[in-house]
Amino acid sequence: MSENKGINLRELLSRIRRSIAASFPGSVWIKAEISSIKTNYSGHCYMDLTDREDAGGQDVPAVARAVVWRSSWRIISAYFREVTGEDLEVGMSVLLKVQVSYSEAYGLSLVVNEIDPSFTLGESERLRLEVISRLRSEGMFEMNTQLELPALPRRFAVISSPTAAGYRDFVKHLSENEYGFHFDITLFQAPMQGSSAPDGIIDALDKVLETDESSVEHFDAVMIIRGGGSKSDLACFDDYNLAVHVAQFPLPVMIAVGHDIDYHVVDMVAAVSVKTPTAMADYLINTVLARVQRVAELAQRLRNAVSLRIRGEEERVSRISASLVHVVGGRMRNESLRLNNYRNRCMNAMGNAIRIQYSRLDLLEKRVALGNPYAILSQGYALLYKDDRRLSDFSVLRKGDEMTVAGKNVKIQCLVTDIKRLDNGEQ
Amino acid sequence: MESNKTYEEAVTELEQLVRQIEDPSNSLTQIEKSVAQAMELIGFCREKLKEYEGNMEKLANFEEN
Repeated sequence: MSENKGINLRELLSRIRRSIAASFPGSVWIKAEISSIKTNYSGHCYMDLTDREDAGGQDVPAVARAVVWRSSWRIISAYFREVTGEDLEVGMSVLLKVQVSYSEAYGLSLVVNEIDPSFTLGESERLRLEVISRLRSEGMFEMNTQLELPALPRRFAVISSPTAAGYRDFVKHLSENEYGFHFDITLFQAPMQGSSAPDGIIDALDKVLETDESSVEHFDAVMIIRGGGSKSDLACFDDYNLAVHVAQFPLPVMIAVGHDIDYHVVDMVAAVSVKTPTAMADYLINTVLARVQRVAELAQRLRNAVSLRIRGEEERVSRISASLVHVVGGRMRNESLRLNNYRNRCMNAMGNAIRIQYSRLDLLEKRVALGNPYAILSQGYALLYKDDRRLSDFSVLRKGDEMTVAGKNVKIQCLVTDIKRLDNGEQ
Repeated sequence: MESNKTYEEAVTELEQLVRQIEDPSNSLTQIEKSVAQAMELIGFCREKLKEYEGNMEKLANFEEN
């Protein structure tokens, strides 16, 4: 190898720089995905850009470094957040206006002058629609939405970051509910932002499942809660893998990731989705409250129905008893009349019997009076006796017989001197 | 006179006495005695009937109360 062969590295790189400067005199719009991004202490933003699109049968991605100088970065980042509601993040597809720059010391870099946020917005929407249609075609889109919360949900696995304001708001709001409802919360920690969030949340979901399967008391639902704060990072809730895990999760998944402009794939596939952690706490309280009120309402209806029925039965019983009284009263009156009749017949019979006996006695008394010879003597009549026997047939008397004439207070001894027989009617 | 005699016994006896009284073959003394007995029996029988009447009234009153 001689000294004449070869050129200096500097010479080569210098030629490359000149060649690049000649090829790219102005700025160029490029499409790429951000594979890393960071802002350093001096305020400049450095990114790694990648392009995974298969170009010409090559699997190896194209990569390049890019920089946004501090002066541009302040304007670009604010404008991007204003339009998209998000910060520039890893995984985003972006449309950048760049100046290709090459230095012998630092190599190739793209200096970013402009970013078109509407491209990212459209791109993320396109990606999201892609994820949605994929989930639909795989039959998973509605799987979790068909799960129902139990009537009285109480025990929850909460995937969140314990230091997040949203999680603390949620716990406070839930535990201080005015009705005194009690909820059990088990926290499963996960990073809630950044590109590690989807995998971290998926890991936490797996842990929830393990705990649920080994626990005597199972979870009623799992929640993914993320506090307000920055609106960046929400792209992770459009992540296909996370959406698949949520959709296929055997428990109802409840989402509150603290955003109010956007609606993400995870929100669509989850059983319940609300905007903020506080709204989630309200949702739980209202769910239980509705059940409690429903039970109270049913109890009231039951009480009303029962008391109505009881009143009806009472009326029926009193109607029956009134008619019984009527019937029995009638029967009693009939019986009473019958008894009276018997009584009267008894009394009449007895009275008749007594009257008959009175008459009989009267008759006997008359006969005694008539048969009493002394009664006749006191009226001046006399009785005749012969041989101490009273004569009722005087034809036995003969002339010369002795007889006695008995009068009132006197007995006269007589001798029959003559007997004259009289015809009837002659005295 | 025995007071434990029933009404029927008394009336039967009374009827016998009346027949004796009406029989002319009986002696005056006998008749006189019979009349006295008969009058006594009539009184007894009337008392008995009064007693029955009283009982009847009592029964009627009892039923009404």
